Amino acid sequence: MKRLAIGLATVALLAGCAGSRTDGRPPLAQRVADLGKEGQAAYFKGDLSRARHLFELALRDARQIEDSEGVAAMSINLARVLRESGEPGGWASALAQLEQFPEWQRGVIPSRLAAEIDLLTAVLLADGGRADESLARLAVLREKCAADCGLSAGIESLHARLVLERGDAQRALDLADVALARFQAHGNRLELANLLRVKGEASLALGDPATARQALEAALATDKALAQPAKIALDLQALADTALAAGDRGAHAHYLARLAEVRRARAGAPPR
Amino acid sequence: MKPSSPSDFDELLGQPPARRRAWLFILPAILGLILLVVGVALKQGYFIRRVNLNFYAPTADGISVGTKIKLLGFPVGAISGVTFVPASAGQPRRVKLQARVDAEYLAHIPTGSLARLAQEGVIGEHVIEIVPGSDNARPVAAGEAIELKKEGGLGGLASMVETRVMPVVDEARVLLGTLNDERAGVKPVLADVRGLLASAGTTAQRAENLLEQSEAKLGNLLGDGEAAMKSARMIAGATDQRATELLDDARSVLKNAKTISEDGANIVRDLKSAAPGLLDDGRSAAADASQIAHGAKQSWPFRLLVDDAPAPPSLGVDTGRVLPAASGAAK
Repeated sequence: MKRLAIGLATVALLAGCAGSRTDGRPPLAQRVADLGKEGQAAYFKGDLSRARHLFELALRDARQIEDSEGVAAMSINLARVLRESGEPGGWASALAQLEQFPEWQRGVIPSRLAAEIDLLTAVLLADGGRADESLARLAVLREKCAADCGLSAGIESLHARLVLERGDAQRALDLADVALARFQAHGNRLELANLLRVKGEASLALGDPATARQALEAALATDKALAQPAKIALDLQALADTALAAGDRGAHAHYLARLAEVRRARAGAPPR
Repeated sequence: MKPSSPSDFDELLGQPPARRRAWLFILPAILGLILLVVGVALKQGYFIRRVNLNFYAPTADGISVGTKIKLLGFPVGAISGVTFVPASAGQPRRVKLQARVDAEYLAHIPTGSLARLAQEGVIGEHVIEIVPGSDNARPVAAGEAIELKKEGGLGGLASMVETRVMPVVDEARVLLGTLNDERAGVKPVLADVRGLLASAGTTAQRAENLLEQSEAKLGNLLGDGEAAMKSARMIAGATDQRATELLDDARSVLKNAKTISEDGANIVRDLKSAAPGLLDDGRSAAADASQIAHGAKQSWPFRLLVDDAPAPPSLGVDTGRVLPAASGAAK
């Protein structure tokens, strides 16, 4: 028995030695990763205030240890939360957040993260009505991403959105159609839904409510599949406008009722 | 009969008292050890179902049994065998790499996926990174094969610099030397021609004008020597033997100029085509350099001392409009 016990103990010790070390990471690096994951979980649950708090903590820790990737990722995450918080001037706070990312760290982060910062900056400029600056950044980014950096659908979507917001509905529709044909099979689904929304709004502006409704229903189906309440609300609002333009008062009322329900749920109110 | 003392209990249990007490300690220890062994085995993935997957690579350089296989950065398996495959009809000699891959990840590897041999930093371990193909394709099945492409590490980068960049630099150096050489360069030849033309009369004067134009063209190395030659031949038809000789000299000068300008244009073209690659390689080198510490951390024995957490991913970018503030987006 003694021999068996010694043998088992030896096996256990050897197995322990053979195993690679999986914990014992530097505490702050581990904390950045953990806070980032918790923040993302809170974001996807719609708890933006908690997500913001967690991303702020993660960003502070990442800065302490000069974790460039962590700083970049948390800056992006924090900027998105600020943008989507619904607070007045959220875009400006988000832009200020992104502008704090040190220039010297751009050279050491993966090109995809750097491109994400550039694209998000262009988005925030568009939100703030600075369309010219946004288009200029977009042009630079498009050159950088000529071989498709994984953000091409987003770049084309923002371009179409900016053109639509400038009042050129026909060109926006053309851009959206081209991008949809290009990215339909393998594009980011959130961006495909954005493109469909631009297509719907452009079609509506061009007096084609039937095409608009078709595109917006497709966008709504995608956003529902992605469980994006804010996007669902945007889709329902646009569908209500489309129904009104088509003279379909019943559908208009139907979409508005659905929109009100989504808004109440987002605000935490009980359903009627 | 009721036992009256502890020794009576020992007798009833049929064990000597010291031995029974020893078991009270040994049994929990053995159970603890068994649990420990099972826990370690679980941690090591001994109970994970693995399936065979094959890779075909041009060489086995940098690959050995145990080389890790990663999918989107996740370790999903390791190489379990390396065998030589002789040339067959339509297929060159290759290396077959047998791998054991976690079965649960097969669903995320579509057919048409590629694999590449990468290195974790400059001095890090080699790993095989699977690059998934189209999501529309069916997942690979156990035993199927994936093509593996190789990427150069630091050695490959140095070799590329030597083979691609150095010839361009050498050529540029020779050209600059020729242009700057006061004795054998272009400038002295033009000066000689101009001296001879000074005594060749009016026709020669026209030829000199022509040469001056050619010299101007030589100045930027990209002039059109052929057009000048055509004009020079027309002039040569109407002048004397001396002028013809001079123009022959001029022709040789222009020919040289054309050759040099073509060389210059070729070099500029080479540099232009090489520049993006060089920049990319430079960026790669910079990225590698910035990751030296990271690579070292991934390699034994450093990884036993320091091991950092992977950077948390970003949420990505959403380029669509956001819900207006009045809609109450935040909780």
